[in-house]
Formats: sequence, C-alpha cells, structure tokens
Amino acid sequence: MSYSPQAAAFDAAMVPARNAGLSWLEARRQSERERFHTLGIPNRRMEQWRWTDLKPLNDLEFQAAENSDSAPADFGVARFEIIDGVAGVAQSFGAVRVMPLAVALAQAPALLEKHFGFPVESAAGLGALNVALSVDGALVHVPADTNAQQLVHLDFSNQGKRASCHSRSLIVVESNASLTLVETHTGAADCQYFAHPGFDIVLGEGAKLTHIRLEQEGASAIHIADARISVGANAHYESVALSTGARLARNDIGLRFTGSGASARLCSTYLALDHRHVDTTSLIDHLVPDCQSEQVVKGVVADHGRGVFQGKIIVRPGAQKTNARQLTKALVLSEQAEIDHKPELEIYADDVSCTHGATAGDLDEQALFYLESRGIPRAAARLMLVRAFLTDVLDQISDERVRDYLELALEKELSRLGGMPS
Amino acid sequence: MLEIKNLYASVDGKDILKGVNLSVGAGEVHAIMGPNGSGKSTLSYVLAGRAGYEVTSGEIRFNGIDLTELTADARAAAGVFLAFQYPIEVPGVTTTTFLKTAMNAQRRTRGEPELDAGQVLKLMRAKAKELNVSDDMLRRPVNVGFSGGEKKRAEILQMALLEPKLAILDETDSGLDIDALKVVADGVNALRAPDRAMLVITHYQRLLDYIVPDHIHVLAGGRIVRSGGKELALELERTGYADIEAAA
Repeated sequence: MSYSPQAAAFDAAMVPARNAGLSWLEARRQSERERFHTLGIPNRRMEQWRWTDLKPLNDLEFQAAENSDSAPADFGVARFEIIDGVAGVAQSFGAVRVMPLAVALAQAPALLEKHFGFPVESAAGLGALNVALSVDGALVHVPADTNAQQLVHLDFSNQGKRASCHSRSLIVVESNASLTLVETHTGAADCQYFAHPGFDIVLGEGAKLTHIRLEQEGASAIHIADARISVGANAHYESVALSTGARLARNDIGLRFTGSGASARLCSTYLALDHRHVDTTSLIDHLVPDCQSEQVVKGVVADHGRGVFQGKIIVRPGAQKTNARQLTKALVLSEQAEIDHKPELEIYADDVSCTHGATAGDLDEQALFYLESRGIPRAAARLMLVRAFLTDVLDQISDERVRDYLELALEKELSRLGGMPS
Repeated sequence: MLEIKNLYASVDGKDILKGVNLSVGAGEVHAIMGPNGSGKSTLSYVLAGRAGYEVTSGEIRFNGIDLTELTADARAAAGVFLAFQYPIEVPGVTTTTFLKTAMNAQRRTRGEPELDAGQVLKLMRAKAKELNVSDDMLRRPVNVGFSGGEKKRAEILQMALLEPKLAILDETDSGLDIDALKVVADGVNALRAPDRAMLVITHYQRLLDYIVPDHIHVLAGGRIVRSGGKELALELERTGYADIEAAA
C-alpha cells in the first residue's frame, strides 16, 4: 500500500462529496477513495505513465485569476455550462434532458446507480480520485428511440476560481436513440489550474453517439480526462477530438463493447507547441464477438512539444470476428520535439482481423518542393502541409458550425507556428 | 531568355552536371534528350531550385537575372515552371485551394493585386475545360487518386494558370498512352507563345512528334554533347544513345 505525499495532499483537499443520502453512492465514492489511496498519484514507474510525468501537478501554484479572460465556446447550439466544475441549471432540449449531477441524483437515482463511476480496469489512480471527488457534472439522457435533432454542447470553462475542478458527467443514449454531443474545455490563460473531467458514456442497443471534443484549456493548465465508454449491441460510437491547449493534457479513454454487432470509430488530433505535452491513452476492449473498432491519432509536435499515444486493444476469448484497426501518425517539426507511440494488441480469439500502424517524421521534402516550385514560399508551404495533415481529421465532423469552430481553434494555434524553422 | 553557362551541379556531393551550356530564346521550344542518368532531371531541378541540388560553378541567367540567387518560390514568381515527371500527391489540400494559393503567392511576390476566389474559380474552370480536367478533379486533393494521365493534365492546367515565361517539362510523356499524350501535347502546344520558352526533357523521340521543338540537344555524362534541329530526334531514334554515350 503506497500513500504518496501528493495523495495525502489531495486527501486533505477533499470536500465531502454530495451523496444526496444515497448509500450506494457513498459506498462507491468510499471504495474509489480507498482505491486511490492504494494506487496513489500515478508515477513514471507505472507502465501506463512512463512517458507522462505528473510532477507538474504537484508543483501547481494556483492563484485565482482576477478576470476570466476565456470567452464562452458558443457556436449556437444547446449549451450546458460547467464553470470551474460547477454545473448550470437543468434544461430539456426536446426529449433530451441535461441536468447537474445533484439534480440527477434526486430525479434519476437508478440511472446513476447503474452507470455512474463504475471502476474499470483502464482507470488509473486519478480515475478513482475523480469518482471520489467529483461533486458535480452533467447528466445527459436521451430516452429510447429518440433521434435528438439538436446537438448538445457541454461547455466546461475553467475561469480560474479553483485550483482543481473535478467533475464527472454521465451520458446515456438509450436503445435506438441517437445524439451528437460536443464537449469543449476552455480556461483562463495565465492561471495554473487542474481540470479533471470524468465521463461515463453508455450506449444502449442500437444507439448512436457522435462525440466531438475540443480541449483548449489555458496554456498553464493541467488537463486530465477520464472517459469510460460502454457500447451496447449494434450501437455505434464515433468521436473526433482536437487538443490545442493545456501545458499537460492527458485523455484516458476506456471503451468496452458489451454487445455484439457494435462499432466504434475514434479519431483524435493534437498540436503540441512550446513545452506542451499531449497524451492520448486508450484501451479498446472487445469483450464480445462481431464488433469493429477503428482508431486514428494524428499529432504535430514542434518546439519542445511532446506527443504520447498509448493504444491498447484487447480481444477477449470468444470475441470472434473482431475487426480492429489502429493508426497513428505524427509530424515532428523540431529536433527538440518528441513523439512516443506504443500500440499494443492482446488477442485471445483466433478468428479476428487486427492491424496497427505508426509513422513519425518531418514533412515530406518532395511535397514541400512541389508547393515551392508553384510559387508558395517555404514557410507558407510548411504551414499548408501541417494544416492539411491535421484538418483531415476535423473534416469528418458533419455539422458545419462545430467543424468551423474546431478549425478556428486549430487555426489560432497554427498561427503560432509562423516562426517555424525551414 | 535563358542562358546557361558552363554549369556544374552536384547532388549529395556527387557531380552530375559537368559544364552545361545552353541558350534558349523567347518563343523557342528546346528539347533535351539523353540516356538515363545523363543529368536531364537534375538539370530541371537545378533550374527550378530544388534544395540539395547544388550549383558548384557556372551561371544561370534568366531574363538577365541570376536564377541561382533566388529561392524556388521566387523563381516560380519570376516565371519558371517545372512540370514534374512524377507529380506529387498532397493529401488534405484541394486542387482549387492549391492553385489559388499558388497564383496569389506569385502575384504577391511580384507586387500584383491578388485574385479573389471567384476570379480564380472562373479562370480555373475555363482552362480546365480545355484540358479535359473535370470539376471533380478540381475538388479533390492535389493529385491524390489521379491516374497517370490525370496527373499530367493537372500539371498542364497548373502551367496554363500560372502562365510561366519558361516552362520545363520533365518526361511529360512517361506513363501516358497515345490518347493521353495527345491531350497533353495539345495543351502544351496551345501554350506556345512568342514570349514563352519551353524546355522539353524526354528520353524518347515519341513526344517530339506531338510537341515539335525548334532545337534538340543531347545531354550525356552531364554535358550537352550534340545539338541540332528537329531531325536529330529521328536520327537518335534509329541509332540510340550508345554511340553518344561512348563519345561522352
């Protein structure tokens, strides 16, 4: 049993979570709290954390921001705010209900008991901490057979009023229902804070969820996200994620297929400039037969930026006819930038098709010359190729407002690449 | 228009061009023929300014300016265009965006006003139609998934839009069947103009049946070993390059 000083510090900072008098919740939080004490803050001796050092979390010097300089990420769709970890007021968008956790505990306790914060293998110590500490978050509920016409936008904005914001949200898309969910994370530019959003995402039989995610935290922030996704029979989960903010960003994804005939497609992309560190760690767990998963991770690192991708796929015994593909590509634009890729396949079934590929390198010199030979100056040609490499992922977003918004976020970060070495 | 004097150039420290002399006047079409490895493609890259193709001595003057002083993009803006033997695929950049960016980048370098999207599209559509380039090709990423013939037609479309003063066609006939070759040659011939010079680089005489040059030069061992009129191509077709290589 290890109980690190950092863990003790976190423990001291704990506030009694609102358990709404629900004994199951109290028990779950208590057991996760104990699990966190056992696991402690992850360190680099742990396989899943060897490339991401959480020391900055220990050194975080929080000072409340005087003025919030983060504009709301508003692109004209149904928006639900979670400001500094505190959720807004309950809303209904047609049949879709969005409410803060506290309201959800009163109105839909059975739903929460069934899905909220169940420990999974993929979740490390911080995931346990998130379940134990998250006093607020959102519940998004799409009833069975509802094809939600409206996008739902969960707007996490960290305005620098708290050192750490632990939230946990539950997204439930019931059987044969569909939803497009947009999740944005923005924050105060010069304030050091720890954003720690957790998600339990549940797709019922035949459900469909399109999940778009933008992490654009303040430049001094630490952002650790924990998403646990469960995909039921014949359901389809699709995600597009972009990360351009936070000095340290880690997205832990645990996706489990719980019913056969389901599919998932996870695409993510990031740009790591300055000393930014972006880590995508995922576990895609094929527990049942006849499921398909596809994952694409594309990143660009420049300056002293660093990109980490650890992608594990498990095909459990009996999960025959699994089709799993994984691809990661990175552009490394400076000598000091670094990429670490670790694809991992664990296959315990014999009738499966699994592939993975990884590439990393500088821009294609031939393509650059081609652009230059047409009159495009070298710096502009480089920018054009970098943009093309990254927007390829965003092009998959069908809603124009959302796509434009993410492209704008990317463009903002790309503009800082101007002084890129030739 | 183009004066190459005693040009020596190396790639990765290896001397490829060893004293090339060539003079091309405005409105003229010159063919450079020669065996594989004679330095034909190197000459085209050296003229276009590709990194790693180093001029070790000699000079290249283009309309009086020293071309070796200019970066590749500045040469393009000055009017040099290279049609690639193997046009490069650029995933994620549509042909339309690519052409608009290139046209305006050149205009910016020359201090001319830029064109708006509508003007570019209008020009592009008109030229594309002449070259049998579909709207679909314009919308697709540059050269991605294009057939050999489509890639070469797209190169000529780029040339037609960028209106160079000196067009260098590097093995434009490679990989084309006779029908595709005719389309491309027609496109090139349509661009022959009194103020435009062309340098047609080819291994085979076939292309020169369709793009008839004013002068033919034979490059072997990194230098021009013979020059003549268009009849030289036919002679080479009969005799091959063996004698010339032996002499070089």
